[in-house]
Amino acid sequence: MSNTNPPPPPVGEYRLFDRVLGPLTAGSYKIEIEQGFDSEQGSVSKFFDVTGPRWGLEATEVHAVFPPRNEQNATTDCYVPFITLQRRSLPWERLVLLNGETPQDFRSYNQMKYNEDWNDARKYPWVALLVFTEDELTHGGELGIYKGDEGLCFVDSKNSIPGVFSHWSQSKRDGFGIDTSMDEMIVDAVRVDSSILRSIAPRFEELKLLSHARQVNPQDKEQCGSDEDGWFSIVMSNRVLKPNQTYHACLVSLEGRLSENILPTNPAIERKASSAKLQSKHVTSALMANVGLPSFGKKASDKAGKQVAKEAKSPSKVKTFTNLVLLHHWTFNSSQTNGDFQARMENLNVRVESSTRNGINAGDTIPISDVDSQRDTIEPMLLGTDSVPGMTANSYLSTEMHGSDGLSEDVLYRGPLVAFSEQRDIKENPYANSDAALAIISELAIWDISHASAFELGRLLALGNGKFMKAMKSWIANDIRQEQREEVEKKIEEKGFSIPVLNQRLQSIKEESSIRMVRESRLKLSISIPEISKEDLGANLEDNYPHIATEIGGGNNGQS
Amino acid sequence: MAKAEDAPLATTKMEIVDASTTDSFKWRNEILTLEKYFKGNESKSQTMRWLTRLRLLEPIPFQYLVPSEDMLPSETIRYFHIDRNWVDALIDGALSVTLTSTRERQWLLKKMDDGKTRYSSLMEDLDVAENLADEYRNYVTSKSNSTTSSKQTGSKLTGFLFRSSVVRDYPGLEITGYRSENRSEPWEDKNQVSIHRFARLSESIIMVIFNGCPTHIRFQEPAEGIRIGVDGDEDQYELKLKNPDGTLLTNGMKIDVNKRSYGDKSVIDILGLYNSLAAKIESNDLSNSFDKQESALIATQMLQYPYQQDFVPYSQMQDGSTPHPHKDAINWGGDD
Repeated sequence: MSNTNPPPPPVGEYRLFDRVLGPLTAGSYKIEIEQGFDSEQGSVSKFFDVTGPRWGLEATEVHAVFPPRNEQNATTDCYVPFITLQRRSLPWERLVLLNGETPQDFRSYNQMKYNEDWNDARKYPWVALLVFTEDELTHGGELGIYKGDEGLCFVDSKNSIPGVFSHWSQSKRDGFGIDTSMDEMIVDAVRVDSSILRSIAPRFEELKLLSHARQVNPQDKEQCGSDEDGWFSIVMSNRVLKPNQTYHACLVSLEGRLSENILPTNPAIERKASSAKLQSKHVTSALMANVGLPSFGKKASDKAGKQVAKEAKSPSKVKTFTNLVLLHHWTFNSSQTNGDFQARMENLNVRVESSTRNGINAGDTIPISDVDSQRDTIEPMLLGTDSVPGMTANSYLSTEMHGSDGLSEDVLYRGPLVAFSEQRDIKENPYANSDAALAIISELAIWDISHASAFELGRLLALGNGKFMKAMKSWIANDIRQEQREEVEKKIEEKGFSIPVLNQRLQSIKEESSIRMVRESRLKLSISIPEISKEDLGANLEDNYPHIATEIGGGNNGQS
Repeated sequence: MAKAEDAPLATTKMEIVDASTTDSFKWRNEILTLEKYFKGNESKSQTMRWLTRLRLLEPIPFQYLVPSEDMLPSETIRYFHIDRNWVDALIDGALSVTLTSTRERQWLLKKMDDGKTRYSSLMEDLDVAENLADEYRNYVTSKSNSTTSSKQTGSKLTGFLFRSSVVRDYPGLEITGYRSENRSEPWEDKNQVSIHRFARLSESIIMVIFNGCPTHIRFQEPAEGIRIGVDGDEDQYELKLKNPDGTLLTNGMKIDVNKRSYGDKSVIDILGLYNSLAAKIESNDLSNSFDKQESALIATQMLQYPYQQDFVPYSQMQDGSTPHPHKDAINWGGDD
């Protein structure tokens, strides 16, 4: 395990990680602290919870989905849907297995070599992204997606549909943190035919292979740092999209559900038909898988094997359904006309300035992908040119200004974003008012109110921001007081006094006991006031302030 | 449109990061922040931080930025220069509200020791502050690209508004500006122009402001949202094998990807794929640095190359003597 937090990768590159694990999985913990000092011993216990999403994801926890939500032309070029989560450790923050369960209990019948990592339950995600066609999720005309107020209960039945955990015993639910007070609580859920679920869901080991963490460089991204530190976790599905389908992508929680045999252990695999022998084996494999029996000679794990055998003994023709907690859901349609990033960028609109092509005229708007660079001339894609109705080539828009006298006149305005570069005129002093920021366009004899409007907008925004007003006022007041103080100190120093020495002396006078006694006597009126001689005071001052001492000395003859 | 197949994109690792070791704010110690720049005068610091936001046009209502809807139709990109005189007038207006007495006005107009008025110093401070405002981006830039980490102060600002469903559906869009005076090899890191502000103004509109005037701009699919998939077709899915840095093996080796027999045969045998890749590592066809990798190995092999959309100067596109590889590039008026 590496405890380092690597710096961002170079721009345009990314790093992939098998997983990002926090120090603890979600749950309740007790910490016991013991401290000893000589013969004294002390201990204290504290409880704390490590929390994380369990029954649903907040919108802010989902960074992006692919294909985009409600996409009508999701690309079908062999891509698989996936969800990008904002938090890098989210898929591994809970344990998918219950207490007492081990990864070995759920292994599928494959011949891979397992190392120690495959035996560590913490390294399996508790979520999976399942992608269903609308047909696969529709039963009796009802779509098996239940969200918001229409969600399913934890335990109780709702509209004849049993709760998500209704088939669990009360003791199992208690151990899982679902007490009886939660029986009626509603959670988003997906309800799917169990056999379809097993046909589509990943195998247990595949859960681990379908989630990874990714670090990217956020330097050239929107909101760099505020909600994007460059770390994400990605959960991908195992299903390639086919054209002309409506799909439902469901991020589901598998926490505690594996013992229900909801994941396949030995799905029938269609291999490349390169030889008759292989084909034959494949057919056998498919047949055996259909009745839930292992097709390889490898020994199945006990628990999974028993479940499979149980299914094989009593094949049920009655449809059974599985309800799963739905953490996030989105839909999209697929088509053969791709609507991916490339297609959308190529469909950005540009205006034709001139063209030698038939049917393309000046002023037409066409997608970038349709531009024929040999025969079309395209207008520069600048903000605010004379291609906009009522706008001049240099971004001015004609508008009306209403004066205080009630009269109005035509004026020109443009915002801070202009089509052409403007030279900055650095002023030594600010505009005193908005009238000072008015400019006249001499060629047209018309007012340009752009900067005057900016001035007024600045006023309005400042007036609406109490914190700014208070802070600026405080800054000015403190500065003015400081300047006044400096002016006085300057004058004192011009007279030959040293401010630090004066301050020091003032402090020492305050601390002298005789002065304090004077004060106290004035307050209490019960203590006699000791006499302070002019000689004493003069002697003290004379050391430091000969100029003042001279004046005090002069007091002896009554001239002070 | 181009696929970035010519450059390494992924560097795979299998380390497991202990998330508890991340200090969320430690990075602040390594850069000059607004807080540090105005340290020692809290009132001034608060004032300047809000004025900096004004400088970056943050609190400005959209109709002041784009006064006519026709200026920014849907599915378009529009480039602009920022009129700094407009922004300076905006700051003047904000300052004027607090100057209610002669003494306060004199305070702002007072000549300082360097002969400049306090107002001039304030505006110069804002020139510096606007470069410091986007702190985390500055930190990341300093770590990953030293050429753009030193910004010009008070320089020309340019940018663009992008209104498209791409903004909504591809969060994390990566946009890089480059300036190449002689237009040769513009897409090099050393030519990058730093981003001054990158903000989403609405669900489908983003604004990017560059510190300087780029000549070339590149849009790239978000690295965290790059498509994942396989090659081949529905008759037989395949996977072209990749090196740890994401580049294709030079011998063009590929493996078959099997699918489940269920229904429309669209469910991939991920475990079988993993076992095939493990066999290729064992036979040294794939780098043994992949050894013991799990989901990172699958992701490396299944990630597709991100799409890029480049915008280059019009004259360059038209100039037959120096044909540009990006045929679909379009003029944007980014030249001075």
